Amino acid sequence: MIPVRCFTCGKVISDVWDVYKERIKQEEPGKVLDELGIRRYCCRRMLLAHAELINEIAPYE
Amino acid sequence: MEVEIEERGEKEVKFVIKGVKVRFANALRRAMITEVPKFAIDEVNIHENTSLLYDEQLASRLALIPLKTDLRDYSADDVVSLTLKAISPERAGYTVVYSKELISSDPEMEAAFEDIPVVKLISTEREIRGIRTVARQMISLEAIARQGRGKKHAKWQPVTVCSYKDLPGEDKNGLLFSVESDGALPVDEIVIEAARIMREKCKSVVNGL
Repeated sequence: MIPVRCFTCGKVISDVWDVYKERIKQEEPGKVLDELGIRRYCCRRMLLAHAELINEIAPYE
Repeated sequence: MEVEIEERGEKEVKFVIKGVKVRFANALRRAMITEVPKFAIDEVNIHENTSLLYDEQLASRLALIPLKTDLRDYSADDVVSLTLKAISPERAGYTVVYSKELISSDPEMEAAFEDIPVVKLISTEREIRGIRTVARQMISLEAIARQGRGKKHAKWQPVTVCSYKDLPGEDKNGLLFSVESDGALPVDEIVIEAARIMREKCKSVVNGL
């Protein structure tokens, strides 16, 4: 699961994750982040570098 | 002292303070970070949690959700209870539980962001000796929100970015502040409340002498 807030500055970034994930299928991630109001590089890396791993763990319940 | 607002929104403000010492600006900055109170989830009673997250991970995620607060409506030891119940779908698949699904005992207090994913609940289909069953995950919990200050835990810190710098260029007489709220309080209220707290602290020094 995406962290709720940016590790560095504390801004809530998880609320745009679903939109971000959908939009980067078609668009440039940098542009999407700009439009979603994720301006600082500390916040941008949270979304850019996130790997959704929870589905990998799911089978080993 | 002279204050000039450069940019102002509900969550962000940029202003220039002229004619003050840097130590004053720093005191104001630190007051905004550590002294301005707000509400955050502080205790979670988990009745059921069969999701993939451990109880403490779930509690940590809940605590980080900013709760919209009007400070004038509450006293320091008021508590607000928020409940959350969810179950994964009847067939194989998943649902994501969002912050908007928190049901507050106080209609005035709600999550500042609706779409914060709290946890993912997954249904898996299994076949055991020819019988199909669906294993569903569920959560059921009560979260208790309390007022606190940033000096105790970052979840009670009302600001994200809160900094000042020298004005660019030759004019070294002013400081440019950038303050950004995490969404729980309007940003101008944070600045005003911090200033008020500083004044109270100074008064208590005078009274103590």
